[in-house]
Amino acid sequence: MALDLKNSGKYRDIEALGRLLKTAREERRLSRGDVGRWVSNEEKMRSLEEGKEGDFWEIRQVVGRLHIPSNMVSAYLNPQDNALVNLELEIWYDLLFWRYGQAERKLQRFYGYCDRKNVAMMQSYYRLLALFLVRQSRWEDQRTKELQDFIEKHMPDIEKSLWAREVFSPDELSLIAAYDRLVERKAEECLKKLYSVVYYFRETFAREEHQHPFYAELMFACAQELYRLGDYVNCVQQCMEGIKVTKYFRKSVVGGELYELMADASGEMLKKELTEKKLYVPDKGVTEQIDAVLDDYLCADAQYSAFYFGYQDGHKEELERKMKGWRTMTGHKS
Amino acid sequence: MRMKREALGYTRKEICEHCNGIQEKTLIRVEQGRTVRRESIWELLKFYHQSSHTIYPVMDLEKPSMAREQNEVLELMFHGNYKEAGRRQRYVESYMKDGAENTIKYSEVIGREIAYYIGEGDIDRRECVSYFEEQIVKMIPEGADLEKWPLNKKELHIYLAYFNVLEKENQYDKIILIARKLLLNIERQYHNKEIFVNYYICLMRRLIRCLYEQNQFHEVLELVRRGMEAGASVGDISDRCRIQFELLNYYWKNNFFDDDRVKEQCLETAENGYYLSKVCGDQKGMKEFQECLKMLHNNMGEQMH
Repeated sequence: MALDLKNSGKYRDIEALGRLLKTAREERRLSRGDVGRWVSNEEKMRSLEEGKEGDFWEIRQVVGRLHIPSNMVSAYLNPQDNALVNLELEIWYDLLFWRYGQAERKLQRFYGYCDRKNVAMMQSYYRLLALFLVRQSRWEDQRTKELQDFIEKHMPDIEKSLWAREVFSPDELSLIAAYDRLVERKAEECLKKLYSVVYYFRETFAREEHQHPFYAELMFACAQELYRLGDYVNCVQQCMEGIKVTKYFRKSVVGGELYELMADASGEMLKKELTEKKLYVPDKGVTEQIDAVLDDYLCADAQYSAFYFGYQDGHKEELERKMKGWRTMTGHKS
Repeated sequence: MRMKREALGYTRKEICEHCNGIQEKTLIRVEQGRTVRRESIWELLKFYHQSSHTIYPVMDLEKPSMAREQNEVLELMFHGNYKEAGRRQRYVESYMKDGAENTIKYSEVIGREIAYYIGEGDIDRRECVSYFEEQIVKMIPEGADLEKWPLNKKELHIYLAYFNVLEKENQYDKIILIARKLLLNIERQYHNKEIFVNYYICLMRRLIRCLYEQNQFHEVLELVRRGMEAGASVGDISDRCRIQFELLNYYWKNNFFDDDRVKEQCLETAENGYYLSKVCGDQKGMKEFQECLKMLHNNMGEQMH
């Protein structure tokens, strides 16, 4: 459905994109089959590299797998794809900022527009669905089965592929991580699976992790499981990693949750220290640590107040209660 | 394509008359997003000044990973580190393919902006303003309505670079006039949310700043509200902080810092701004909001700035 941009003797964007894909693939010493695995085929990949038109969703997945920044190549949208890609982005923001009612309605619309035969497009839908179900803690939702069937059919042997370091795009990794959290409820097992994604990501996307919003979600997922297991030191570590994404984009990406969890975990560690070492609060070092915990809560509060839907209606009270506890210890008024 | 025709105020028939040889049924197909051969709409593309169908520039580079480096350049520019941005930009340029027209043009815009800021060589400031004006003329055909003419990300970037230069030259009137039209343009929301919000807020805060410089305060509160609302939907921290600072500036300039009815709101805004700046490691922002907080606590409004 895209415009057919034939060679007019000059350099054209679709050809530039083809060259970019070819060079990136060769640079990574991958075959066309490797790069197009699950979502495309060798023939289509060749055609793309030759500068001919292709499916937007396939291109996007391939671009992600080849580590090309998506904002440098998003192109050639027909009106339907354009509407869908905009809807996808809106759903993602709705999920980030707790607008779950809107997200659910838009997810239904998204599903209605989807071409069920287009694996790359369906991956996008299931990624959003998995994120939605995890955020809403809907472990028993009937759509989980549908998601499971899709993964088994179209993305078989994920774990094996991850360990074999086959190519995955950040979006695919996001789907895998959300899926793992959805189907694996035991914290230790879930963490093990999440870490296979973390190791893969850190190894293959080394030094560029913080440039992918998905990394913040992944770190938050790990931190939550670590907190459940009482491993507060690593929980704080993962939160700090996740926060790098917000710092990089100067946009809140799971920012409120990460700061709050970091404060919770640091607070737990501090409480333990206070009891074990019998430290008392006016001690300068301890007061400073309490201030740091309070500061993290305030950073969470600033983001929640500015961006998160419905924060004032319930969660704010909970956060204030936590802060009040620490303030009472130090004698802070506000 | 349909929007471009409408922005020029033409019917399909009139467009076909202007573009030798194009048939009305072909134009209908194009406007419906259906496949046509490029050769058959060549005249039309020329008429619309359209060299590319992409929303974002495709970087045609010898080494694809350099596209990430280009993002870093924009990041450095945001933080005002133009010297390093310039160094890295030259590095990216060395990987551009010969003949990659669009990539080279896009890079030239960035290069010009950087050069202007660091005063590289004997840069002629007036010539720099003219350069951006020429780019805009090339982008948009004469007679097109800027409020309706669809713009892609690259084109919006050129406008922002142009505004940055104009602001340095104190040409606020020009910015106000164009920014208003561009804001109306973006409000039509044909873009995806991210592009829409990013540019919307960037333009909004420039407009607010220029209105201040011209002592035109009456619209400020409404513009701040619109900017913050747009930014909130995508969690945009940095632009929100800047708009919040403009809001405090407005309250200070209008002696609201001593007004008990508004003071509470000012305190909340300054505190929120301080912590949001802290979240994204913006030391300058933190300092500015801290100053505001100090003044609010001490009731010393006259010390601001």
